[in-house]
Amino acid sequence: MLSIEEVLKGAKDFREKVNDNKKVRKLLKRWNPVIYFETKDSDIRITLDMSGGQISAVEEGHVGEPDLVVLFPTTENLSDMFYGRLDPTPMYLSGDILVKGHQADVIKLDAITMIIWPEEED
Amino acid sequence: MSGMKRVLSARSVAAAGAGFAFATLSIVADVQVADLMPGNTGWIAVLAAALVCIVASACFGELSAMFPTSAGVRVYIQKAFNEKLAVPLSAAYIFTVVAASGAEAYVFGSVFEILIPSGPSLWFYIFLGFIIVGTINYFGIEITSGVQNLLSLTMFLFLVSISLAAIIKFDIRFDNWYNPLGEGSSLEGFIAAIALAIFLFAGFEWVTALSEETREQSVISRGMIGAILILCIVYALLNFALVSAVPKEVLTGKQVWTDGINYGARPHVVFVKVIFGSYEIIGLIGVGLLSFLASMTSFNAGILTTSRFLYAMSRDKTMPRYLSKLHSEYFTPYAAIITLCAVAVTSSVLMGLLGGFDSFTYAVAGSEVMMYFLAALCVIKLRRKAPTLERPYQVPGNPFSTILMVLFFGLLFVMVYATPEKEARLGLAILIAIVLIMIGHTVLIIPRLRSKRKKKSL
Repeated sequence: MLSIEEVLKGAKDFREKVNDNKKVRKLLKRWNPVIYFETKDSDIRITLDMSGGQISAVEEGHVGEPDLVVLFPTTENLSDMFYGRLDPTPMYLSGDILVKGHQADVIKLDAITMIIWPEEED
Repeated sequence: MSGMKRVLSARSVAAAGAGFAFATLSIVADVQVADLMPGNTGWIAVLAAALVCIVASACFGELSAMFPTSAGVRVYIQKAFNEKLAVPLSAAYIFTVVAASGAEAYVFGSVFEILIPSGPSLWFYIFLGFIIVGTINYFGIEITSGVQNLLSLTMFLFLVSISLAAIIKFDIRFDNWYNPLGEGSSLEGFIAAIALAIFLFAGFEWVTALSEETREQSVISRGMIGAILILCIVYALLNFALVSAVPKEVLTGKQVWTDGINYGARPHVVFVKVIFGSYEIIGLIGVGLLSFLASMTSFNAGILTTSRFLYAMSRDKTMPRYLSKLHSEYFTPYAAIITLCAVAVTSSVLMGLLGGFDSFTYAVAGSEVMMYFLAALCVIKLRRKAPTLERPYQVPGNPFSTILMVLFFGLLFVMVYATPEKEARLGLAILIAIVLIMIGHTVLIIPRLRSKRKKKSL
């Protein structure tokens, strides 16, 4: 089982990738949600605070009131997603990752994954 | 999971569920149900259909509590069976609803063509309707839950008031208002009328897509039952009132009214005319507003939900990539919205040229019952396949109740199309065609889409 420190390290790595991406910054400049990440197999809780198209804070535990809550089946999955080893979209679409929040916000969250994990044609 | 800033209440979920189903085409379907029943007994078929839907809602309640996702029916079928079954059936269900939006637009246009005789043709109103809804969805303008509550309440009050006014004014046209198996009827006809009356509730289960916006799962179950009860009161009363006020032959368009107009595609217009008598202008303004609100809310709900579904399918590589395009400012799946509006407009144009708008009530009723059947099967299969999975809500009396549901919904599906009406046969042909197209898509197109698209690593 991964420790909170390891998952936090991944979350901070994820923050850098998002914040370094000009497209994400431009597209989501007016989106300021608080996002909780949780896992089913542990008590690990991470809060990402977004403002001005950037992740302004990554914190351990629940901080503030969330706009979106994302529940991963395992801590491993959450960490893999932060490190870019796991594309969350198929898991979300098959009901393995659960999201609570307004559907328009869920689409914006998906937009981030679409930008930082782009598809390529053969 | 933790709580959120914005959550929907059971009342908002019920209003959304009822809003999906408040369509102008539903009044045509209510008349078709009345026509299948003897005397003034159509309301009994509506009541029985409501009970069927409440039973089905128990299955959707269990499934949405296990998988609270906006992908809804697709996830349930995929978890219980496999993706090869989930994709064509859920997509066929969605596209049947989109094609029925074409029929709704046709009825909407027919109403305004009659209300404004010197105005533009039917096509103007059809295109106007889709332009309004397409624009609302393109720019991501949301109908807030407060506005949706108000719209549903307005339609509820208007329809209930005019129905009660008609019953008071015209009394009961037929002696038989209580015996669905009375003279000139049969058990088969009664079951067929119940099956068709399912159309009146079509969409109540779409609120499972709102699972992600609720704090507790019981909100969805209570919301579904609330929506069914609202619709039951409205359509049972309206059924009774329509038949009391206007001859069935006029409502169904088999005969023209005394003004020489055929009201087959707009029975509520002649209904309001006879209720308001010399004050008909007030009633007709009301009916215009009602048709506009009913069509716009059901179009809007239809395009909003189906465009997100299509977007999700594209993201999952089961639909072409262009359908996952998001607007850079409004974050709306604009390519999916435009495509769906184009499909619905094409459906309207075909209906205008070939006729058969009233067959879509049968196509949608059949696809609804097919979904109830599949939902009950999913409950049975998942209880065996994943017995330890957390179930915040459970269908009471399983497995006997769910086995009975599977048998009953299977029978009901057959009965939707068992009537001699030609609309029923065309409705079945439409549904089969859509299912076959989606099976072909799954077998031939999806493997190509998937092999063509792969993810870049970070």
